[in-house]
Amino acid sequence: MIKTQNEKVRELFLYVQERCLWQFFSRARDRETNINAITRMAGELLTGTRPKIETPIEKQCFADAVELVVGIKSHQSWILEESPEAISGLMDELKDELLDLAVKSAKNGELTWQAY
Amino acid sequence: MGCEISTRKRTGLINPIFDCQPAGAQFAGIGIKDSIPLVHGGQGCVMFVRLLLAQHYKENFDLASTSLHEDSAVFGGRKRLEEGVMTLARRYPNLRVIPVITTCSTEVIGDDIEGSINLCNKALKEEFPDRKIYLVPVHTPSFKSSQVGGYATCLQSVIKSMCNAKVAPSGKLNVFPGWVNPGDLDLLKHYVSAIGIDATYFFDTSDFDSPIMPDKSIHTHGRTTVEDIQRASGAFGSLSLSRYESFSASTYLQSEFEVPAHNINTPYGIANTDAMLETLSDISGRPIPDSLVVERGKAIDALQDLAHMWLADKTVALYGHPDLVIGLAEFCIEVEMKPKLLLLGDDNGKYKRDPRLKALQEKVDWDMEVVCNADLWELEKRVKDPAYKLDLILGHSKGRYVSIEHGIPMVRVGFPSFDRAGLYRHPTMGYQGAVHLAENIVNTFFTHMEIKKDREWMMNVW
Amino acid sequence: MPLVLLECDKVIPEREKHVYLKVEGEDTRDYLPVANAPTIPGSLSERGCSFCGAKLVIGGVLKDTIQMIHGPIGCAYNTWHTKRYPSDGDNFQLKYVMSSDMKEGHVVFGGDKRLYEAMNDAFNEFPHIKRMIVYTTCPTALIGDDIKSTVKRVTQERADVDIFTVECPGFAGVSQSKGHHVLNIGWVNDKVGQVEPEITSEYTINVIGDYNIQGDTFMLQQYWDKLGIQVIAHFTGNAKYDDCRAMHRAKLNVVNCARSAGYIANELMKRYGIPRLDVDTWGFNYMAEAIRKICTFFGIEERGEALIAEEYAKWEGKLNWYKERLAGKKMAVWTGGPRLWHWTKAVEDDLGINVVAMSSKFGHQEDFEKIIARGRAGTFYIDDANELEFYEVLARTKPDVIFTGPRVGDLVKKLHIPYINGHGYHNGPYMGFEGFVNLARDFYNATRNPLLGLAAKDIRAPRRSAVLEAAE
Repeated sequence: MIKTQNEKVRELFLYVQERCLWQFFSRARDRETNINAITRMAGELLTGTRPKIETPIEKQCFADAVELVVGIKSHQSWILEESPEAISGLMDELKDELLDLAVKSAKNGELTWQAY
Repeated sequence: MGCEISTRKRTGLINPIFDCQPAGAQFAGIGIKDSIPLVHGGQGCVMFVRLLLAQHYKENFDLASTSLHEDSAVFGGRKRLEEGVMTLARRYPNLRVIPVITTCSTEVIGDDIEGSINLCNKALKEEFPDRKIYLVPVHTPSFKSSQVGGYATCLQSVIKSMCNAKVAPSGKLNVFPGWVNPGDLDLLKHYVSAIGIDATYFFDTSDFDSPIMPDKSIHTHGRTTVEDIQRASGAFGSLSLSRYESFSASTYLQSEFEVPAHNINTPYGIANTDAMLETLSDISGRPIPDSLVVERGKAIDALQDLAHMWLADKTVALYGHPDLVIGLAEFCIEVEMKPKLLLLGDDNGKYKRDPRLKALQEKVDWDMEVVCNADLWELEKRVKDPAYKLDLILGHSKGRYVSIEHGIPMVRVGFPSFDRAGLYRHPTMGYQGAVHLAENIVNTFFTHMEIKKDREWMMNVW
Repeated sequence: MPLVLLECDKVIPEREKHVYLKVEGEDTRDYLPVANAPTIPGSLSERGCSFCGAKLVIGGVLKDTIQMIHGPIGCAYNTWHTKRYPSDGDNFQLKYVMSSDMKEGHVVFGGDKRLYEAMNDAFNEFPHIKRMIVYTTCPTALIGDDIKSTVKRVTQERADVDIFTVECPGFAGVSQSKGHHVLNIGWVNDKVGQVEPEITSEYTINVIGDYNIQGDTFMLQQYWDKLGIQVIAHFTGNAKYDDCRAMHRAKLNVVNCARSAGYIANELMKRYGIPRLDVDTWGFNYMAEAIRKICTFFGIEERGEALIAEEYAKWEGKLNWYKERLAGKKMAVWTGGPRLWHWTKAVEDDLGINVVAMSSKFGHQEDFEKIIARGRAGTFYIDDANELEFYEVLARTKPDVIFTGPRVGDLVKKLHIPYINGHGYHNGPYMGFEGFVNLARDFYNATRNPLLGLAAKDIRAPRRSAVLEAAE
């Protein structure tokens, strides 16, 4: 059965939502950092590009991204058939959906506190 | 030689013997049927006491908190207290008594408990015209006294505020056992009914050892009812067994309603139990039945097997509730053991004038110390000295490491006993309690001898 | 509709905002229970106080530190002998607690002198201990004792001691959670950066939010040793006070309990640029993932794979033996907060167990985001559940086993439901591969216990007697 783009994003989203703690860091700013970096790196890894890592935080995001990719490959094996362009498109939409879940539409009242 | 009574001099307390006043008040408050004590203070003051009670009894008890938060600390906790009362009343349709127990924080803030109770009474009457819920103010700031005084204060407050009229003679006896185990209470009931006396217990905690029932009903609660409390003024007398936990309540009933108070020594050991049974016989005019003579005889028979062979000259350290410690010191002497150190864990000034301690002072011809306002470090510090010989520790579970670290046999007794199974089920009082304790002690010695290979061959033949 | 007003809550309708029943297809954008909010007085909440969150949960774990509680005796008494966190030393942290034993006079005239004497007494009585944490309590905070200046005085007079102050009275905040926060932030402000650790490996981490319950830390330490990773500090399982002053030197913070110690991980990230890696350490699948991530971070992936292979070879068979027998069982989790999200998928993936109800005492909405993301549809998610709610939810969900504290365990046994200690464990540790087999074993033993079956039998019920049967 052929999956629509929406169905594919949804599958990826549900997998990340259930699996990954990095999307739920304490504050919105940290969630954004993680979600942006990890989905980007995961997309690069899925398309055979070595992500650029300069800072320790990027190294942590890379470790998270590597595991995410392993998970996606085993749970959403259809991704192996996708073209690089399609994968970056999917990852972009995944990122938007995660940002919406964890930041924009999140009901968590503590996300924008300045202090930890 | 002789007995010296001193007080801890060190300011810093290391390993307390007692919890604070509200803990004791909470324990007393759950002895009443259809009662949920409401503790006015921080949540920990309740959560930890519920845990402590569960550790000892392996049961859950309902206790509520007003959950004092920061704003209440600043603006007063009155609103939360009133909300707490109403929430309890609304959610627990069978609720009849709410002891309102204060803590250090609400006493420091200075919340007007009596004023709040008046307001609550009005609100309750309005919302529940067909129900009467008794709100009992219990003032137990944690910076005074200890769990011992907290128990006494709650008991007395309940009697004072709920038993406020002289009722017709009930023909019953009030029994104030103090803070004891269900095993003790069941034994007291057995004695009292064997003599043919109808009695009410303040409070009846037999069901603190409660069953799992096929219908899943829960029986873990006190049995003393509102009516029992109200009729206390009509009793023909009060038998009060704990100088520091119950004498104040029985004395109150005497002075207020002329109910004769028989404030006697806590019945630990043979002689103290004899005295209790004689008192029961005297005040009821009924003879002590033969069956109790047989029970007594069996106890002395059992103790006779143990005393001068295994127990004689063994030195003992005791700590815990004062009536327990002093009573068990008397028992130790009955079985030829030598109490060496008695630790009383709070600053009650009356300990030094306790007639039982005075009697001990006259009796002992060995070195014995009584330390008031003590902590468990008073015990451990002495034990750390190799020259200090100690054969046995009698006390509750919080002192377990003194025994474990220093290899001293220990028998758990008192509250809380959570590191040995089922102790709440057995009596420590009375003839049976004396036997149970003595046998526990020698069995502990035997196990110790076997593990240490110290004359373990002794028991090859006994 | 998925926020639920339970029958027992009809008279406290604000509870509706705290009780969520997940429906297929929903996520936390639709519903998120209110959490970390004031408790309703008289509701028989399970919550403790913030002092306990600081002392009992975090500070009291340190194995070489005097716990000095400035207040009446109960606060010391109650936060001593109430946890199962051993250490590899002499278990000083389990054996001793100190108090200034405040009495009425000190409340009236101030307790600073009292505290000063008590601190000196403690150092004098334990001459080999040079570290101390001083905690304020409700009354000492209310009367305004100047603890910091007393601490300063003692520190100046005793050159070889170091003292940390925690000013978090029990009434601060709405639960234990505030105490975690105060201790975390206080520690990073006052103590981190003061000690330079001896570095023995190029791979250094802090393990944050693990308190060595029944030896969890020891279990994990085996893995770090095999991987060649140096743990600068455990915060605070089996830790020394000075270990935690050197936390700034780790290259990575590995966070297990994000609720009690996420704060310090965040601050270390902000102030020292140390990345925060959140992991799960309960469960095979999760533990393996955690090891893989840490090893990827350090570029030692092969070591990680070797360790995982070794551990799976050792324990997977045992886990699967239990999985065959536990699949489809129903579980409730009523603990503090994070264990809800740590456990719900772990028991599902590794053991086939379905979590049907979860209650958190002190979790924040952040925890509920994780819990609901990982939890099943048809499951209850409750913030600060109280006793009557427990009864009602139990009747609706009928779990086979409840992971909760011993007191609630004593309650549910009357309902013929076995409990497993979700705080201090039954026979742990539960972390790591071997630990999760322990959890599975305890779960299995709880469910196959014949006693609760016998409990349901009413011996008064009408029956055909053996004699009658024989006659037929």
